[in-house]
Parts: sequence; C-alpha cells; structure tokens
Amino acid sequence: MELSIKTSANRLLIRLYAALAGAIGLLVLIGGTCNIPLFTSISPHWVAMKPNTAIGFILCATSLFIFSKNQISKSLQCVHQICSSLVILLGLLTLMEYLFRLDFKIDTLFFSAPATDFHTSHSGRMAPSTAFCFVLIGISLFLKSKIFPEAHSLIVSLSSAGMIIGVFALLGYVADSFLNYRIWNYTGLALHTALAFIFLNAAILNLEFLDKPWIWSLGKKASTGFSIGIALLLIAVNAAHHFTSELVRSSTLVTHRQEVLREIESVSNSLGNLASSERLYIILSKPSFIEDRENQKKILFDHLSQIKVLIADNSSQLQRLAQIEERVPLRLRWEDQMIETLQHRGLKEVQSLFSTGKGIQLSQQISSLLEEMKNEEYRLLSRDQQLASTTSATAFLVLPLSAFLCLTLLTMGVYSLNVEARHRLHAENLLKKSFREITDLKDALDQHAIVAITDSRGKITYVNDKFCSISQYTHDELIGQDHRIINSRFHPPEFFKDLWNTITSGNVWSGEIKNKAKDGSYYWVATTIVPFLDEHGKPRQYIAIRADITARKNAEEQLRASEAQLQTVFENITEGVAVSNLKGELIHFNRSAIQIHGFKDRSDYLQPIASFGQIFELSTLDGKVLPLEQWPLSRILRGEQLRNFEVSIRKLNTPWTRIFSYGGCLVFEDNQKPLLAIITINDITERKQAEQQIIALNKTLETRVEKRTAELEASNRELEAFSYSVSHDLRAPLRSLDGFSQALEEDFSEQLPPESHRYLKIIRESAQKMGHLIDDLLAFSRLNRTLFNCAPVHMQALVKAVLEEQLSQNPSLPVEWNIGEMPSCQGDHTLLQQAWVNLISNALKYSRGRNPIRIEIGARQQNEETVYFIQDNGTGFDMKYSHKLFGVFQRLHRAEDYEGTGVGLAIVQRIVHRHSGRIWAHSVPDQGTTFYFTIEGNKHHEQ
Amino acid sequence: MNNNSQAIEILLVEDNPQDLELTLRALKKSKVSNAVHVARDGAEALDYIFCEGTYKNRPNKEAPKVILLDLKLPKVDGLEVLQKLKSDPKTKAIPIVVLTSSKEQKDIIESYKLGVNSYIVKPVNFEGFTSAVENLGLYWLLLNQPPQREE
Repeated sequence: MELSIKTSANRLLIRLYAALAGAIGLLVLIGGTCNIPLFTSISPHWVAMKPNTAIGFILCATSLFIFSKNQISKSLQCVHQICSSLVILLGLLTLMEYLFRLDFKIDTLFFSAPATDFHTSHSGRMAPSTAFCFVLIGISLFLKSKIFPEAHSLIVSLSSAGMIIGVFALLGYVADSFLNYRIWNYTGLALHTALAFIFLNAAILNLEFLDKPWIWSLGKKASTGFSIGIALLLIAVNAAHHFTSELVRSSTLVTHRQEVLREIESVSNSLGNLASSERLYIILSKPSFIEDRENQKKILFDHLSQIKVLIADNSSQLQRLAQIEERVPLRLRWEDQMIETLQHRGLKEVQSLFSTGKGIQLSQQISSLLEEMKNEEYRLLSRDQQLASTTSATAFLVLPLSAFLCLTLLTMGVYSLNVEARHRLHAENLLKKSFREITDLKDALDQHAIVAITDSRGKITYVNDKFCSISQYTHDELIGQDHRIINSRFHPPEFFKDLWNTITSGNVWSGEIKNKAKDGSYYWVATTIVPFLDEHGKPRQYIAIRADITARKNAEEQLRASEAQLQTVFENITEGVAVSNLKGELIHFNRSAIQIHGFKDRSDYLQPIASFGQIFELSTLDGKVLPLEQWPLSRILRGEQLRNFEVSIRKLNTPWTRIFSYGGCLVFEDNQKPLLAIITINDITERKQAEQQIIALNKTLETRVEKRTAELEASNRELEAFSYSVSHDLRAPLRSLDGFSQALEEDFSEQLPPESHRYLKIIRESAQKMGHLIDDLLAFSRLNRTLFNCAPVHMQALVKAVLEEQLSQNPSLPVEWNIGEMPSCQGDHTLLQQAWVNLISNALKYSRGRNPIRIEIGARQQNEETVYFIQDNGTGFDMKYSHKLFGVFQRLHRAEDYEGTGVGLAIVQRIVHRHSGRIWAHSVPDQGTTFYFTIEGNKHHEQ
Repeated sequence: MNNNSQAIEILLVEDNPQDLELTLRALKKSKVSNAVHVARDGAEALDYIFCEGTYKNRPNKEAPKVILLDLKLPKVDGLEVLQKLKSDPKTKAIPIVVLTSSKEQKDIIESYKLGVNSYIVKPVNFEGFTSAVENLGLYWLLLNQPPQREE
C-alpha cells in the first residue's frame, strides 16, 4: 500500500521533471523561431541554447513520459526506442564533428543560428559537453526499455555522471571562476541546458529507483575518501585549469607587450619618417617628399590609437601616451608650419623658424616619452615574460602533479574499495556461512519440532510444515490468526494469562499445552515460547517451538489408569501382598496382608525382616522351626521364586497360630537389575483343615466305592447267571408243556373228551406265548450288555432292506409305502436294524385291516438335527397313554386284537437311548401313528 | 436204552427227561430212534465215547455217527464235553450238533470256537422242535458223508 503511494508520487515527480525539460526545449525552439533572445540565452552574455539541444530535450522528455506510465504498449515502446536512439545519434554525430573537425550540417538542419552567438565556436552547434550528456542520457533511456532489464547499475551510473556534469555547469554559472565554461574555446553549456539535464537525469534516477530502494552500500571510510577524492580532484582540475589559463594569459600578455613595443616603434618610425620627409622637402624642395604626408599622419594616429587600446589597462603608460598625443599634433603642426613657410616665405624664414628649436624640442620630448614608454613596456615585458615562465613552470608542475594526485586518489580509492570489498566479501562469506548454518539449523528444527512465529500481538506470521500437519490447518488458514484457533479449552484462562504475562515481560515460557486440531482431535505439545525484543525492550515477535508429546501424554494417562487399576487390585485382592526393598525392609502391605497378620498400626509391619523374628515364629507344617534365613522373604531376596511355600506361623507368647502359603519373587528393572521383592501371603489355615477333612472323607469314600463296585459286580454276575439260566432252563418246561400236550393229543385223541382238545390248545398257546415273552425279555436285557459298534450307517438302504424283508413275510398285505430322503448317520448297524424291524413290524401290525396300508418313512431337519420318522394309517392310540408307550410289557391294545409281548417299543427306545437320541410318538386313534426319533451319532457324522 | 450190538448212530446227551422224551419221540417219528444211545450227563457221554467207566466193556466200540449235545449238563457241561472231544484227535472227526434251549450269543460263539458242526436252538413249540430234530437226523445220518474211520 505504502509502496504504491510512494510509487505514484514518484511517477508524478518524474512527469514533472520531464515536463520541465521538455518545456525548456520548447521555449528555446519558440525563442529561436521568433527571435526572442530571452528564451534562447536568458542574458546576452550567456551562452544560448542551440536548437538541436532543444530538440534533444523534447525527445528525452517524450521518452520519459512514456516510461512514467504503468503499462507501456508495444507501439509506445517503439516510439521510446526511436526517441532514445535519435538522442544518442544526435550526441554522437555532434561529438564526431568536434573530434574530427567535420560538418554534417546537422547543426543548421532545422534552424539557422544567429551569426552573433555568444561564446559559440561553431554556429548553431551544441556544446561538446551537451553532446556527451545526450549520449549518456540516450543510452540510459535506451537501456531502460525492456530489452535490457538488468541494466540498472549502468543506467544509474550513466545518469549520475550526466547529473554531475549538469551540476558542474550550474556551479560554473554560480561561481564564475569555478570551471568557467566560457574560457574554453568551444561552445559553453547554456544555463537552462544544465538545468534541463539536471531535470532529465533526476527523472531517470527517480525512474530507476521507482521500485528499487536507494541503498548506499559503500562504507563510511570509502564514502568519505571518495568525497574527499572528488573534491581534491575538482581542486586539482580547477588548479590545472587555473594555471593553464594563467599560462595562456601570460603568454598573451607577452605578445601584447611585444605588440605595444612594435606599435611604439611604428609610432617613432612614423614620426621619424614624417620629420625626415619634411626636412628633405625643405632642403630639396621636391614636393614628392610631402605627397604621402597626410597618409602617413593617418597611419601614425592609427598606431597611436592602437597603442591606446593595447595599454588601456596601464595608467602610467596612458599618461605618457596622453603627453605624446598632446605633443605629436604640435610637432606635426610645426612641421606643417615649416613646409608652409617654405612655400610662402622662403628658406630664410624657414631657417629662422628652425633656429627657434621648438620643433626639435617637441621631437625630443616625444622621443623621450616614447623611449619612456618603450622602457616601461620592456620592463613590463620582462616582468610578464618572467611571470609567464613561472606560470608555465608551475603549470607544468601542477598538471602532472594533479594527474598524479588523481592517479593516487584513484589507486587509493580502488585499493580502499578492494579492501572494503574484501571485508565485505569476507563478511558476506561469514554471513553466508552463518546463514547456511542457520538454514541447516532451521531445517533440522523443522524436521524435529513444530515451529510457529507470531508478531507482538500474537498473530501468526510463520508456521512450519509440522505445525500444519499436526493441526491439520493449511498454511494460509493459520497465517494472520492467533493461537486461539487451536485452543482446546482444556486449560483454564489463567493458564494462558500466565503464559502471556511471562512472554510479554520478555521471559521464556515452557510448558505442556493440549491443542485441538481442525478435525476436533486433541494433541499435546511441549512448548517453549521465546520472546524477541526490539530496541525498546518490547517483544517484537515470539518464536514458539513445540514437540508432539501426545503419545507420551496418552501413555502417561494409560500408565496412571493402569497404576490406579493395579493399586486397586493390590489393595482389594484377597491374597495378602507385601513389598520389600532389597535390604529386607518391608515398605508396603496391602489390606489383606495387614488383616491376615492381625496388624493394627503401620509401625507393626513397616520394619525390617529381622524385627519380625522377634514377633513371629515360622515352622514347617511338620513342626520344624525355620531360622530367619529360611523365611520366605529371605529366600526371595536370594533370588528364589517361591510358590505355595506352606508355613505354620505363630505369634510368640500368644495362642495365635495360622498356616500361611507364601509366594513371591524379585521384581527386575529392564536391565535385569533387581528392584524390589514381592511376597504374597495366603491364610490357608481353614483350607488346610478342610483338606484334612476331605482326605479323611475321601478315604471312607474310596472304601465305600470299592464295596459298592464289588456289590455291583456281583449283582451283575448274578444277573448274567440269572439270564443265562432263564435262557436255558425256563424254556424247557414250556417245551414239555407244549410237547406233551401235543403227544397227548396225538396218542390219546380218541379217549379224550371233546372239550379237552380246546384246553390242550390253550395250554400249548400259553406255553408258546411264555416262550416269546422269555425271548423278548432276554433280548431286552441283552441290549445293555452288547457292545456298541459305531460306524457310518446308510439309513435309507437299511430301512429299505428291513421293509422289504418284513413285506416278504406277509406278501398278501396291501401295502403302499414310501421311503423319503434319509441322511446317513453314525451308529450301531445291528441295533438300528433291530429298531427299524420293531418299528416297521409294529406299523404293519397295527395297520392290519386297512386297505391299503400306507407307510411313510423319512427324515426331516428340525432345529439342526435330523428327525427320522415312520407314519402309518393304523389304529393309533389315545395320546393320554403315550407315557406308557415305551414301557417294558406295557401294552395299549388287547392281546386278542394285536398279538405281542410289549417289549418291541421298549427295545426301540433302549436302542435310541444308546445312540443318545430321543424318541416320541404322535397318534390319533383310528387315523394312524407317527414315531419320531433322533440319533446323536448323526451330528458326529455331519461333523 | 438199546444195548444191542447194532452200531450206534446217534449219541444223545440230555439231562432233562422231558426234553429227552420229546427228542426221542421226534427221532422216532423220523425212524432213526433205534440207533440212539442216551447219556444223561457230560461225564457219561465222555465215558461212552472213550469207552471208560461203566462203558469200559461196551460191545461196539465204534464212535457214533453224530452226537446231539445239550449244553447245560450236570457234572461235566456240554461245552467241556465239546472241548474234550474236539481236542482229541480220535474223536475230533465225530460231528457234534449242539441242541440247546440257549439263544445266548456267548454260547453260540463259544461252541463254534470249539469246533461244533452245528448249533440248533430247541424251539418251545413242539412242531418246530420235531421238524428240527427230524431234519438234523436226516441230514447227519443220511446226507452227510463222514470221513473213513481209522482202525
């Protein structure tokens, strides 16, 4: 903002300068055309500005006007280049004219200059210095165009040189003697030319420093040296100039004196000629002698007036000349009187007149006066000659001396500049090095830390990438903000107040701050804020360096939590825990440990192990007293790991006796150095007592079990013998009943009364039924004793085989059957076969009389298990008797209706139970029955 | 019962008198009862076969063509008899049929292990029993071809 204001002000100034220079050029042109001397030369004794110079100024002003614009179009750029090139051409051509004594006719190209131009060597031609200045300005302006953007320093130096020339010219006018341009044989620099040059160069310099600040970077010494050098150089140049002019003046004076002498000689010659011609006429009376008299008189007076001009600055000579001038006409009149006398009165009269001696007296007076003048001039001549020789000697001394002085100053200047440059280079190198170091440091810091810089009001002026990444804000979002943007509201306002108080008073603040990132997450930073003070001791800016300690903070939090957790566990665990240091001094007991030992006061237990030896006596469970070094803690301190070290503990002089189980170990640091000993104590008195009881109980139990097992075994054996004997012996009587009944009928059929045949039949049927009962009962009792052979059973094939076998036994039955999909299972093939035989034969039996008999066999998935089923359309049963269905010898139908022993379903249930399955039935009387069963083995099989 | 010199074809070992009668009745029906010798216990059966004890001087010392053996016998039981006969090379070749009331698997397996030639369960019903005895008499005496006796 400020810069642009400054820039626009500068642009205005540049335009003003350009306008001034242009106006001067324009005025001069107008003055030249309309013949107004005031415009061209201001004062008639001053040098006039030449038209070419004026044109040059207008061109320069145009060029500058173009450049004062913010944006320059291509065409304007072109105009600018043409203008500046013309200016260079103008200056160069003029300089060449001077140097090579040429005439390009450019001086009078536009305007014919007035002939009487003051202090002008060539009519209408600008001064050489003007031409030189134009070349400088032209080059500056040309370089200014965009083609040479890096020509800043060259432009500045060229413009500065032009400026100095202008200033010198101006000074020349101010102090006439100082570098008087008019002394020079060449055309001088006009006053307004000098002014215009100053304006133009000022404008160019201004333009140059429009966007670049003006920095004087020479050291004090060098600057002073250069100033003195320039001053000395000016003095030397001035002195040289002075002595040169003196030399010129004295040599002019010598010439002048000689001229005066020559004139005096001519006067005396003329006088002598006039006198001798007069005398010859008198003597010879030849008129030819006086014919040229008047002409000679005129020459004489010419010489006299010439002398007068020449000696105008010498009063004594002028006095003499006046006396001569007084006497020369008298003498001439005397001569004329003599000539007249001769012509009119004759020679005699001439002689008398002559004898008066007046003529001779006058001649003598004049001669002596002339001689005096001559002597005076000779004296002056010799003086001037001497002065000239002195001046020339001085000049020849001063000129080389000033040259040497210049050389010396230049050398010194170069040397001191070199020294300064070397210092500067050194300093720069040091600076570069330290800058590099600082940059390296900064880079390293940026790698490690979160860095932010704020101004004195706390507004962020810089943040590094780490700051951005942790806070999740971008660079632009942070710059200009204060740190409230990341405030987590975790800390109270006093916290930040303290922070500000510390840093605003110039002190470093360090602490840990919880901040909030953009996404609302929190992070912890260890922060150090360093205030940097200005020259008044007030903080200028603050640099905050932070390190991300979120992980540590979280870890601390977790550690605290886990410590609290451990502490709670430690205090509330039912097991007693004590902590001892490596010297065997107990430093902590938990609540249980205190309780177990029956301590009341901290001093009771926070003491070295040795002190416990006077309170407690420890012994093994079989009564051997343990010395102190065999105590659990002593063993732990020696590095043993104790587990369930059971000890009987007794408080001396009291009846208090308990049994404790000790455990424990050393706690090690990371580097395997032991730190502490932990000892755990369990009061196992009650447990031990209980154990004793259990051991006693167990002993009786064992004998009881042995007895019961023996009993069971015996009973089993009896049962086996029983069933064996049943198998062998129970059937024999039945066979006899049946057999002999038949024998009776066969052998004595005729003797028997008719009714007895029926009785015999009943006897035989009963015997056979008894046989079936015995068979079924034996089969049933055998089920539990047979081995269980588990193997995959192809259920569908099994069922099909059984069904077909059953149907083949009763081929006449009108059966419609269907076997659905049945998954295989794991089970005992024989047992399952038996089960299906019973179920299918049951179904057929109880459906007898149906036409057709419908039997549906299958399986379905229900609650992740397979349920096998068999459904018939038989007589069914009342569900209220279903609980009797599977009982041994339980029948729901009369024997006359459906034969059977009541063992079949009991066997099926037993088989299903042996497969860990369930069996149930659903029936509607006269509609049919469905039996369902599951087999645990099925699950195994699926797995 | 029949102590003549006719060669004994069947040795019937049976303790139960009713069963014995029924068996003999069945054998009679199948016309083989003449050549039957009855032993009432295991010891007697062994004595008969090895011509020991009371049978020391039995006239016909030839072995029977078949032995019908009950398992449950007084003194020496059927399985022991079976074991003795089958382990003796002289008697090993005599076909032995176990005729018993027992349906116990244990008995069946044991009998076969000891080398029984046939195992027949006596049914309760007399028709069944008769047909079983008839069939076995027919089979062992008429159809079966025993090896030649060694002298």
